[in-house]
Amino acid sequence: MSNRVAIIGVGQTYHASKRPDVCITELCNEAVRAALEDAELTMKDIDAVVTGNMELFEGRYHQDLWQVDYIGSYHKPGFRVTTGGTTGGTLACTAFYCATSGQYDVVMSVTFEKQGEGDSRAGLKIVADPIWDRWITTGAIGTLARLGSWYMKEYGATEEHAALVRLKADRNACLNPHSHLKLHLKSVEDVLKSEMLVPPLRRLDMCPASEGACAIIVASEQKARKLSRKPVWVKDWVEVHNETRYNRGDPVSLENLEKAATTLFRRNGITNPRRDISMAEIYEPATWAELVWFEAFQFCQKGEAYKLVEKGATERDGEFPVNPSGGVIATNPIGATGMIRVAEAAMQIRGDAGPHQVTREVKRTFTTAWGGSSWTVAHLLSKTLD
Amino acid sequence: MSKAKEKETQEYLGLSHVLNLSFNWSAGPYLGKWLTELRDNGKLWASRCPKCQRLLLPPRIVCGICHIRTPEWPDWLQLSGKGKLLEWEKVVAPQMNPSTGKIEPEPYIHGNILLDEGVTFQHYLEEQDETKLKEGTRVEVVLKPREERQGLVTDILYFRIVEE
Repeated sequence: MSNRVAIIGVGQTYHASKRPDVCITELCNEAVRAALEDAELTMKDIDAVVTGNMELFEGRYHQDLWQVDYIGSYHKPGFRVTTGGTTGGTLACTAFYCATSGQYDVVMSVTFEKQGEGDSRAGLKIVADPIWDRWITTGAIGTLARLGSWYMKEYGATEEHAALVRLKADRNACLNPHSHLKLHLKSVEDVLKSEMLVPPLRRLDMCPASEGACAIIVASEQKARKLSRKPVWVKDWVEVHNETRYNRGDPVSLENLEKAATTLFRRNGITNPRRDISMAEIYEPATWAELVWFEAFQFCQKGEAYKLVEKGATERDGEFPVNPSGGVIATNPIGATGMIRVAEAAMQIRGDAGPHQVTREVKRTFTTAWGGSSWTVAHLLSKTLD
Repeated sequence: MSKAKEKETQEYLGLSHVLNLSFNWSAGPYLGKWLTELRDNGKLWASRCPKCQRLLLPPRIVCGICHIRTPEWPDWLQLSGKGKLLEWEKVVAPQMNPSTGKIEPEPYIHGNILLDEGVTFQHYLEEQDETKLKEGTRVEVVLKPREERQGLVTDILYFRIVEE
């Protein structure tokens, strides 16, 4: 990478299934103000603003036009980016690209979703090709259920393991002031008694539909050093797209996730990911995804993730914390979800995540976003510029 | 009521709206031909990438991996409609059909089938008792009667178990 950049500010709203107290653009403004406050900057310091969300969910179009007043893009360059479920992850990359290009020194990236204003399950399904796929697919829940049945059959994991992932997510979410679902679940049984959607996937295995927004501020190295007391350095990032998938040859479709991790690790000399990276905030739309994808990202051997979960290795105070924020299983404003992973990782590196700060020192983080056809975006952040 | 109290209990208004728009999506020459063959002749086809040799179902004008043009019909492979079940999901919670906007009657079973020619196809299964299904179960395609077929992928009713 030619020019180095850092995240110098992050902001999130609080999340809920419904935020009737604000309209879409006001919700975005809440995240923008939080990010500016965090960075101790004003809009005068921002050179460009990029924005995005998932299409279709709210039935509102050309959002970037209506957002101008609220996200501070008046007379500033920038554009809208939308890449389905990966939008938030891609919007982080977009800010990185803009700042590394040298065209702009300080770039703000804003993402949101207000899922309660539309029908997000319908929105997700309408993404499918109308002539072929819409008629004959089971959508995201079918795909995620398949992960669970495949994982159990292949490696001997049980539904209790998925429940342990949910309990961890809930414990973490209960500590995170921004998270949506804080259920105070007590036991594996609490999870196992929730409604079955597509066996073995239960309602509590699945992410919720949330309303919320997230913004980050990214700066060139020179500006980051000048403007920020706590820059978080962006080591690398990647977006992986596969062939548009009409038919699934592979039942679990891990190709993109594996390629994203392999690319980042190879380019950055990471040979033992669990040792060389301190923690991860991954886009896990379901408990089963966290288990299977932890392996796809090479943080352990195949079939080992559920054993690590049994031992508590991925807890907030464990050897390798995964989603100390509570993750996507607790909070999912889709267009913002991928960027929240990045914002949370940056807070963990700075050591100011608050009640859900992990107990170990965080030097380097791995964050991801995931979307339709298993598109994957991944980022590496670092405390130091080594 | 004091102004402070009034602010605290503010009613949040919203606007409800149902959008009803018409669309007409072109199927294109390859998918269009595939659907016409299904409707008129009850035949299933796959195209083959001339470079990597894999089958594409439905046929598309380029192979996404090799990014080269694939042959036009009739230089496609006709499929037997028979294959084996790889995996399946039983949907037990109500799901909206995105093509009709209506909730599908549940439960229903959705399967991924490896056709004998070596390409996968996903569709619904006739069998509703999942205990009768296992990996490798032989299945075959069942079409709607000719007069009911519309040139849609749902002209295929489902796959049913082949009793052997």
